[in-house]
Amino acid sequence: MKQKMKRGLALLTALCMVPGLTGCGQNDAKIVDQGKNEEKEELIIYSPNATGNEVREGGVMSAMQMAIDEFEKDHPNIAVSYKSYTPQDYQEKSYDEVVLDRVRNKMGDDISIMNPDVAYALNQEGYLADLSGLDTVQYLTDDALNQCTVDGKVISVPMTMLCYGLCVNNDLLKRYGLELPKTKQDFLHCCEVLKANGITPIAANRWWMETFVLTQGFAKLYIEDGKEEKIAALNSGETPISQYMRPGFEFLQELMDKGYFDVDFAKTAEAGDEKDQFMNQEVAFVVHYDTAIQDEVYGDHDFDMAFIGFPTDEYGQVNLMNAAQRIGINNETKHYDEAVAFAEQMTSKEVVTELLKNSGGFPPRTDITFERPEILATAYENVEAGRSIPGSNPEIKLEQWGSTCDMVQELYKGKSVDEVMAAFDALQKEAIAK
Amino acid sequence: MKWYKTRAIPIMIAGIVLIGCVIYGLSSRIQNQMEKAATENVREIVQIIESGITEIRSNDVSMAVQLAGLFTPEGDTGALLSQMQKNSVFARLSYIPEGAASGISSNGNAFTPAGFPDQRDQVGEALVTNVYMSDLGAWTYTVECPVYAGDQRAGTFYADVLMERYDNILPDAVFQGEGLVYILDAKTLRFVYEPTSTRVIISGKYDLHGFLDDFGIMEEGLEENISGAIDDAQSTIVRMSVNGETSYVYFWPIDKGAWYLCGIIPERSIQGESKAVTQTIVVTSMIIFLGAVMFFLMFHWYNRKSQKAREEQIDLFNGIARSIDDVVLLYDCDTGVQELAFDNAKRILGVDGKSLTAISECAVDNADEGAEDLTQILCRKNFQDGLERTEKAVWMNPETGLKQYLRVETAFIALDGARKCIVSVVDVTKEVQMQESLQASVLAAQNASQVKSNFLSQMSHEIRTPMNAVVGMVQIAETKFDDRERVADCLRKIKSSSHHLLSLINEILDISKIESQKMSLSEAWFSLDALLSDIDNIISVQAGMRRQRFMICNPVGNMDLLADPIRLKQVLMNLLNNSVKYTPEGGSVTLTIERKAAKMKDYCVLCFRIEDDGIGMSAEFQKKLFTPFEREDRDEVSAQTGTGLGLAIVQSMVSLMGGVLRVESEMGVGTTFYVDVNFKYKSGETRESVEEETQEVCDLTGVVILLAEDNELNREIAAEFLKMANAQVECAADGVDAFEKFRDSEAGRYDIILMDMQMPRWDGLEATRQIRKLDRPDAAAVPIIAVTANAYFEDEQKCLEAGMNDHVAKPLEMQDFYQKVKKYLWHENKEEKK
Repeated sequence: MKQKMKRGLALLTALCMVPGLTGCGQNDAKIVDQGKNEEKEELIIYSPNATGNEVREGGVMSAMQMAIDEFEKDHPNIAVSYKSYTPQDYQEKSYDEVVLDRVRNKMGDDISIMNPDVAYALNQEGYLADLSGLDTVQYLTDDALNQCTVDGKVISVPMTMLCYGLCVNNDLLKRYGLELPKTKQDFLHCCEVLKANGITPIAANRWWMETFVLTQGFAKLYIEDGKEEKIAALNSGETPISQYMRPGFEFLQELMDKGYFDVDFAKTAEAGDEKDQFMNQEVAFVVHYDTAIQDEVYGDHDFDMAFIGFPTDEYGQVNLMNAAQRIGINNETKHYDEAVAFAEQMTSKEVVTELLKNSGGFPPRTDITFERPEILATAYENVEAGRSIPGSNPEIKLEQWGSTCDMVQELYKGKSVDEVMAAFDALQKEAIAK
Repeated sequence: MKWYKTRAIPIMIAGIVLIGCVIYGLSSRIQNQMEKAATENVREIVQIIESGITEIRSNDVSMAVQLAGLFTPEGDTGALLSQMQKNSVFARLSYIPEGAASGISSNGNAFTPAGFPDQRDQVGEALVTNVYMSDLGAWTYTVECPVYAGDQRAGTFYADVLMERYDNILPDAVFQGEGLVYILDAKTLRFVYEPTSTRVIISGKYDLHGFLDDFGIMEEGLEENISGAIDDAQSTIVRMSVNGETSYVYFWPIDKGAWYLCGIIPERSIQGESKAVTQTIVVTSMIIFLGAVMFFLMFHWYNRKSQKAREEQIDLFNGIARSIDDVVLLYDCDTGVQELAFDNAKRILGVDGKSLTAISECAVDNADEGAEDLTQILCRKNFQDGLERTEKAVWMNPETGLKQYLRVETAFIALDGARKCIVSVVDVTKEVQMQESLQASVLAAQNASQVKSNFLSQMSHEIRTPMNAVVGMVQIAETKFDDRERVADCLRKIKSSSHHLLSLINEILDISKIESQKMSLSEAWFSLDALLSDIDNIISVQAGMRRQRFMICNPVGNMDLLADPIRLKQVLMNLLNNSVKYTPEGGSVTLTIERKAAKMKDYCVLCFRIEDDGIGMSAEFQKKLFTPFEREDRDEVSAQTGTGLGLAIVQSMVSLMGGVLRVESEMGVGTTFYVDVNFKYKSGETRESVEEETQEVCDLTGVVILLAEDNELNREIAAEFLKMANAQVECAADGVDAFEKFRDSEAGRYDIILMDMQMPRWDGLEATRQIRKLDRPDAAAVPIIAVTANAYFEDEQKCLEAGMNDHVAKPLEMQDFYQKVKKYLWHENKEEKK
């Protein structure tokens, strides 16, 4: 037995030594790599960046990453360059301004992610390509397609539909005997009671209070009959835009006057800066879109939260729908086909499904199956009942989303509602004149 | 197995721990080296990038200055600028005439410096702005160069450099595309360049805080530390966990700290190859380590299994050992080392196996020829010769201190290729002792047989001698019938021989009684002088016949003593007879009586000393002097008649009397016996009354005696003795006849019945029992005396148990016979008188 073991060990040792011995003394040159660097076509996409880790998983950036990865896999000869910008604060240029500058200065971006007002502006200036031929278009919901179509031209395709509404701290309301507001008066009552109890009712940033304005006035246009006639009257100048804008601005002015939100904070706050106030239960209301229910935003809350529409006296709660993460293709791009393919990828069923996977919400496509979170029940109910308006309707010559946003800033700065209305009407005339 | 437990396991565990430590140490060392190398790699790469950026930035400024030098503010400046821009690295070239608020750009648009940052750095004649988001929609820095027309400054030349210029210069990422490269403006801490890589698209970090926060780098004080380092234009490389992955976070100053290169490089991307090597080493080491552990566990398992099997075998052996008396030892033939010993070694040999080995080892060292045989056997080199042996050995048991006899057997076997010797040790002490005992018994039996043969031969001689005298004298008397005097002489000698025969038989009876411890003494007053006179009459004759001088010295004088005079006389006569017998002719025998004071009143101690100058006795024989049938084996002794019973009887009798018998003897010098006896003595008045009783005359007139005797001659002698005393005798020929005669007689017809023991039909015992059972008044009362040749003590007991009153042994001594009969008749008369 011992002899066998010794023989086995000797054999094993010998076998171990063979590779070492054969490797010794060799010094032959060996070409380990040889070739030519392949030049890839560069496809440049310019995009705003979502800030913070909260959007890293399950959000739009995650879906974009997924789309890019998939695209690069399918198009190995194309190198996607991803460029982005996010303003540090309100003093810096906004993303919209930068996109406008880049397109107008022909900085070479093939694809840009843009907001509706920018899209409308660039389309008017002739920088955007027609995307009607995308497969995605035939699957877009009517609302999504309408918001992206200008005179029959599909100027952009959205990755998502954002449903704006009010996130409510229901515990705070209950604490003071209040219920979820269904009308403007209910809402003002809530604000009054909360304010009387030392609680600021609303937290606002510099962008999203326009939703209050738009829903108050434009609900009548979209919910009641005769939408086309009304739009025609607006486009002809027969109906001044102030007719629809005034109720909203007056409402906003009332909120400002009564101190129902911190105007100074709202002047400079970027989207998301108000998060801490709401999570710390310092306020009862905050404007956000439906993805607010994600854990990374407001989902991980310690109180009873509700997501409702904006209360109006005439129609009850009304939500505002925006076709967002719009993909526009530069009309002068040298890589149109690649850009179209990329846009198809970005708005594909898989990517949209991925976007809805974690947060639910409202898809821009009709072929998506998704789960409806209970917390969005009111929003689904409102939208399905027709109690929703678009954030911007390209059928109306005056772009609403961006211009309202600008006017809200003016109101913050101290202009009166009348002055703002006058400015609006002037913008309307200017737009009609174009 | 003990070696394995005490040494192998600790060594193996230590080996495994050592291997583990070596592996850990090597891994740690490699890890440290790799960390150093990784840091160095990061440093080198970043330095290269930084050098490139600095060079490019410097070149851009130089280029702008050169272009400004070439620019002429005259003519179509817009076209000139456009032409110059197309062939340059600048995104836009602009010119503002001196004193004008705005100018023109290479893209044909009006140009104003309104959006410029306040901070500018002077580089030569040029001013270089901080990076800012220009109206081109990109992070830009602008080089301002003066334009001269002759010696006069004509305006300012602006060259816009986009940070996106570095898209095609800087790598998207370093280290396998994992390490992204950012550029941070040191003054604003604003990111002014971001990689275009799509590996991580959410790279929009607008400032240092956002950068650190978004990557989860929340270590306390780190941001302040980095900010401070940036203020001091120092580089910083931090190895830390970023989003759960060990990474290197670097901040590296560019161009004296105006910008900072920064980024995060996962450690795995830096240490890719070396990590693989390290992992290979670690895996290989782990495999070796696990192999060692497995080997150890297998070895341990195998040993445990073997140990268990061995322990079971040992348990079996020990179980067997407990039930047997063979001590089994197992030795290695080559080394002589004991490998196994049964537990019963302690029980059987008084020492355990280990100690036995020690003893044997010790014996080997000492090579002591005088050592116990067992150790010699165990220590011999006979384990090596292979010869199987069976040997006897002796062993001094250390526990009991007794010597043991052992049988040692050796056998040889082969175990695992090694020769072993099995030694079986059996304690045969009992067998040896039994054999010795048997031999002693056989010898004793042989001796006893010899003694009895000698005794019978002696008896035959002793009996034949007087019988010869009787037969011879009878024949002489028949021939000399007419010679009355001669006949009378013959009769006297016949009587003497008969008495001798009778004494011989009595001695045998006495020794029988002594052996059965049934010897008893009677008490009677007697005169010391009379006793000594009787002795003198007899011994003087015997001594005279051997021409010896016999002398009695009695300084005590006459005394009346209470004792058994017959037994005392028998003692003294026996001792004196021996002295006469074993003293050569011409010798002397002396009986001396001395008196000593007794402790009690009316008592005295008389010391009888019998001295002779005879042949004496050996010291050895003196030890068994009083053993029955023992006679010294010497010619002088053998020449004398004797039964060998005399001294045994004498000693027993002296003991019964409460006295002491001792002897002093020397071969060829003589022998002295001392007999010290305590006697009660009395005055002369009582002595006279005793003498009167002994002189009573026997007359049985009127007494009717039934004599049952089958032997006609004996019946005649007994009848004749009784008739000579005037008694009326009726004879019966056997027991039945005696019973019937008594049954058929009138009540009170017989005064006494003399009953022989051995008779036809009913013996005397049965006849007595039947007589006693008869329902008549005299059946229980009539004295029945056994007259029989069955003279042993047991015979007497049987007679008494059967209902007889007394026992008379044959041959009948007439006077004794009369006395015995009279005793019961007289006794009856006394009862009647009462």
